Amino acid sequence: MLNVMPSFVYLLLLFYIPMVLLLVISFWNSGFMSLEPAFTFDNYRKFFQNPNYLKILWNTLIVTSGSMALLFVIGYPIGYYLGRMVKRYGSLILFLMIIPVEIGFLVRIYAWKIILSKTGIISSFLVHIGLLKEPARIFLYSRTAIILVLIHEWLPYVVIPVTIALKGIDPSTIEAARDLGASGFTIFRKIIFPLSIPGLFAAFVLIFIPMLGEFAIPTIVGGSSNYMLGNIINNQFMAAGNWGFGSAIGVILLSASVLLIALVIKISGLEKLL
Amino acid sequence: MNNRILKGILGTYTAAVILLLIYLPLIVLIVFSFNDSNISGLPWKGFTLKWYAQIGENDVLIESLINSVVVALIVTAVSLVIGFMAARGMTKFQYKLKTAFTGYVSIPFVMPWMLIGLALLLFFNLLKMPLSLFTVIISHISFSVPLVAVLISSRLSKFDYAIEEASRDLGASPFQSFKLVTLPIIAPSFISAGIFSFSWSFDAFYITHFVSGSQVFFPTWIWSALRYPNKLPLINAVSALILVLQLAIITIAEIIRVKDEDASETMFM
Repeated sequence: MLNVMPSFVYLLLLFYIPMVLLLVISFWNSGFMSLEPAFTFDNYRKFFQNPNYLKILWNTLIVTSGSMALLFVIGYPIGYYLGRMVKRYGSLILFLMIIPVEIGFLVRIYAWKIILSKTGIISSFLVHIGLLKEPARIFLYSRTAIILVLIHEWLPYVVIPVTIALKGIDPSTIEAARDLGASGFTIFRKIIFPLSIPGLFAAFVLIFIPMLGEFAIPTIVGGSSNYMLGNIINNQFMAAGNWGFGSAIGVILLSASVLLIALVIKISGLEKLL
Repeated sequence: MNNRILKGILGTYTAAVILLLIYLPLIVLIVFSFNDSNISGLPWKGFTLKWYAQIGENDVLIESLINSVVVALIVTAVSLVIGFMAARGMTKFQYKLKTAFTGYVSIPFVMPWMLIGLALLLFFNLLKMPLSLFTVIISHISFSVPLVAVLISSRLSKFDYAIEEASRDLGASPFQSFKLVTLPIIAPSFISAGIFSFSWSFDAFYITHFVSGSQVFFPTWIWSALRYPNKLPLINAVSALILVLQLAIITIAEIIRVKDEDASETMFM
């Protein structure tokens, strides 16, 4: 018990109580630089009655779900390669993938801005080979740019759980299927893919909620017309001074992600696997 | 399809994706930090070190670097102690609540950093605590304790606590037993968890952004400097420098961890 106490108390005081406070304050009376205890749904009403905010919520869900789908499509073959085809250097390759995304968060987003800008390497290259007549922005200040940077940021966290899930498949299961006459594709469809679903789900939970809380990426490469919920929350706290409203949007964001995860479990029939 | 051909295709694909989607921005950043031009982009105007020379002349930038290093050092020291104890709680006892405790410690992991940051801002505001280096430190610790606990517990789950008990039976004090028996075995994961926690804290933008008040830290300095086009080459240079340093440090951490994991016969994580 001695070992458990310090972290239990610390996280209670400086994580759980503040998180509950966020929930409580989202029901307080709140205006510009004012905040007083109450129990009202005004902050929530304000959000759901404004079509602009709903549009941003929708935009956020489109961008994050789109990124998630692309992350699976791009990441799965890499996980397959590392989990089932590479014998010795698997950990080294995973290591090479994960190191860059652990450091220099803001600067890497800025580097993407350099790459996609008018004077960037893609534009210059396309002009050079004659595909573009004059330099132009490539995807910069669009949803596509946000999705591209989100994929850059989170790809390793899709590859790792998929690799681990595929590595854990018992080789004798696959041999048995082959002996019974299953083709390579049938083995993949009926055995390998179903057994990798828990890995995909782990990646989804690990990535989806943090991705919803993003505001640096939309600010730097997305432009103001592609803002996400995170931008609105940040503005309420750092500029508009309406903390109760900001908290309410934070709660909405978290509830949306929990609902989505529950929905995914329901649809994929994953509760039977868990 | 022939397995060999598939392996070739997937190998090439993996290499291409890692290079283009993960490494390209780092390469671009480092290359353009030497470009003798006010805009970070093509055409190439010649090699220069003048942006690097500007780093030392910018007092606010230097102050932000010092603040971030100080914070990261204290955060790492505290979270290694608390995180190590938590990792023992997560692995040592067979009590029923073990799973619940593991969940309790891991939940900050799946919470968006932005929400942790603003929840703490509300908390400090309610307690009338002025925002300072101190609030940044105690805020970072609420995320780095779970980070350290998870990293060390993956090693401790393969640690045989019986040898600790044996040393106690032979008359060692709890402290002697830790220093002479446990520490030598888990030292590699201790060091690598420490480096990860340092690196995370140094780079933690979202939490720092909300609880730093008027104090300046490296990630928040970058955030505000990004708005000024004339500062962009300087940002380029200082971040290329920091990136290479961090890359070196974290590579060492990872080599220590992987070697240690190999020794205890396990794969990644």
